[in-house]
Amino acid sequence: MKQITLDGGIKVGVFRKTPADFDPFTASPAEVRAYGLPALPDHTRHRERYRRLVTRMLRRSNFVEPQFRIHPGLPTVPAGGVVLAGPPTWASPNTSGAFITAPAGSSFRWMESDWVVPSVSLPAGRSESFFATWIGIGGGDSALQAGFHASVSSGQTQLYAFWEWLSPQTGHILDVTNLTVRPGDFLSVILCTSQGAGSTDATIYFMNWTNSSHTAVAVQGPVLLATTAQWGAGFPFLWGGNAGLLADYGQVFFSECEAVTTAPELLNLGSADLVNLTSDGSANGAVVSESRVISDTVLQCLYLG
Amino acid sequence: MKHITLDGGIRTGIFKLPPLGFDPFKASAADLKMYGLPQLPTDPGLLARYRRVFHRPSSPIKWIEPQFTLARGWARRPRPKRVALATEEGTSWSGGIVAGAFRWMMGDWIVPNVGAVVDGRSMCGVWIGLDGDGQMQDGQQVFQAGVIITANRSGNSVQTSFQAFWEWFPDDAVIISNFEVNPGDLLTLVLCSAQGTGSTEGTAFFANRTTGFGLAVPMFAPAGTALRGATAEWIVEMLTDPKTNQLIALPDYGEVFFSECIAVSTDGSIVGGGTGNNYVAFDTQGNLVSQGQLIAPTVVQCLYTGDPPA
Repeated sequence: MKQITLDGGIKVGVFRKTPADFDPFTASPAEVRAYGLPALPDHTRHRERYRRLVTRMLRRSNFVEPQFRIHPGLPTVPAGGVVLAGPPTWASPNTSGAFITAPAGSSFRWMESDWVVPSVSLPAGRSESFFATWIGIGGGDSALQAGFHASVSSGQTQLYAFWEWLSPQTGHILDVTNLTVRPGDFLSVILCTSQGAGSTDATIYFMNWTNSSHTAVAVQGPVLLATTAQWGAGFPFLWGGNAGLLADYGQVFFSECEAVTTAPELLNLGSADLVNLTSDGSANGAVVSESRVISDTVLQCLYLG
Repeated sequence: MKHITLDGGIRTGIFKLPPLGFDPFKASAADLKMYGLPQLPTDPGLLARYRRVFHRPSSPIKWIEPQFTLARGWARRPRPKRVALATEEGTSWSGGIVAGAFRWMMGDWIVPNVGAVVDGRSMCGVWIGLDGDGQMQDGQQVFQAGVIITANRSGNSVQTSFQAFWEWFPDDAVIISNFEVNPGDLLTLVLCSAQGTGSTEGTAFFANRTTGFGLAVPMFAPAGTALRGATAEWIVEMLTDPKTNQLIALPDYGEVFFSECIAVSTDGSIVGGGTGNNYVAFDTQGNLVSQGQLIAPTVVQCLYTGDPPA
C-alpha cells in the first residue's frame, strides 16, 4: 500500500490493483489485506454478499487509482451538531436518513449500501445548492462517513465521491477527484473499520457499477466508538446545515442496507431510528427531506422542500 | 383539444396549455378537462399526492405542448404467458403486476443511467401500463407510457439516449421528442382512462420533477380494441427488434425503484402495485437478467442481474 500525505498531514493509503484472477476465498488473510480487500466475513449472509460484490468488482470492474483533494470553500470545523427531537423520528438541520445502534457490548465493523445517484436541481430562488448521500459509522463525537456529494451552481453540477472522518477537533471533507460519477449511476459503498470500537483505521470502497469502475482508500482518523451505523441524505457534517441550501434531489432509495457488528451479527433497518431534515432542525420545522423505511433493507429519502 | 392523426392512423391530440401558476385546486372540472389534467381525487391520500405533483406554488410545473415522432427500430410486446402464481417468468417483462378492474394508475421513478453490456445496440423500456398480461386477458392491448433507454456501444465509445414514449399497443409507440429526460431525473407518470373497462380514450401525464416540465397526451385505443383495465403493471422491459423478432440486448440499468405504485379501481378502491405478482425476465440463453421484486405495498424494485459491462 502506498501512503500519501495530503495538506494538513492527512494520510491516505492507496492500494495496488488486485489481479483479476485473485480469489479472496482461497488467498491468505495477509494477501487479502495487502490488496486492501475486506477480510472474509464470518457471517453466512454477509459472506454471500461479499462474494457477489467482490467477485464482480475484481472480475468485471476497472480499478481506478484514486486522486484526492481537500474539498474547498466550505467550513472546516464541525457544525453545531444534530438537533435531535426524537425518538422515534428525529429532526436534524443537516441529515435525513436512518441509523441503527449496535447491541450493548458490540460495535459496527462493516456496513454498506447501494443507491442510484439522483439528478439535483436548484430550489426556487437559489443560485447554489448542495446535496450528499452517504453511509457512516459513528457514535459519540466521532464519525466516518463516505458517499457522494453534488454541488449545483450556475447550471453546473459537480459530483464527487467523498469521505470525512471527524471529531470535534479534526475533520476535512476529502474528495476522490478521478472516480467518474454521473446522475443515474448505480453505486455501492462499503465501509470496513479495522476492529469496530477503537478503530483508527478503515478502508472505504466506492463502486460505480454503471461505468464498471471502483476504487478503495485506506483512511485514518480519531478513535471510533462505532456504536451507530447510518444511511444519510443531506449535508455532510462539515458542511453544516442550512435546509434552504439543500438541492432538490427528488428521491433516493438506499438498498442492501446492512451493517455487521463485532459479534458478528448482521443488522438491517428493522430496528432503525429515522431522521428528517427540517427547516430549522427542530421537530417543529417544516420537513425538507423525509426518510421512510420501506423494508428491512431499503430506505427511501424524499425531497419535500 | 386539437386532434392529430399520426402515421399509421395513431390518433392523439394537443391540449390547451394551462397558464403558468395554474392552480388545479381552484379550477373547475371543465377547466381541468380542457387542460387535460386529472380530475381531483376524493381519496385524502391521493389528494395529497395530487397536490405534491401538480400544485407546487414555489416552482409550478412548466407545461409544454408535446411534439411526436413514431418509434422506429424497436417494438414492445405484451406478456405471452403467466407461468406461476407469485413469480411470473418470461423473456421480456420484469417488475410488478396487480389484477383487478382499474381506471387509472401512477408511479414515480428515477431514470437510471445504463452501461452497455454488448457492442452495438442495447435497449430497455421503463414504463407503467394497464393490461397486457397474456394470461389475464386475451385482448392483447396495452395502455402505457414511460421511457425508452438506448445505449449504442462501439469499442469503448458508448452513446446513450433517453426518450419519453407513450403507446396504446398494438399501435406503434410514439416518442415525445421535445420532453427532456436525463438519467437521474425523477419522473412521475399518471395514466387515466375514461372509465376503466371499455375505455377507448385516456390521458398520459408526464412530470419531470427534476427539470420541472410536464405535459399531457390524449390517447385513443387502436381500432377494434378497448381497455379492459384488468391489470396494472410497473415494468422494466427488454425490447424486440421488429425485423428479426429477436430480443434486443438489455443494458446494465443497475436498479429502478418504482414508488407511489398505485392503481385506482373503477369502484374507487386503491391497490398498491407491490401487492400482486412479480415478474422476472430471462434472456434467450436462459439467464436471469432482470428481477422484479415487491418491496412494499407501493414500491417495486427492478434489479439488473445480467452480465456487467465488460
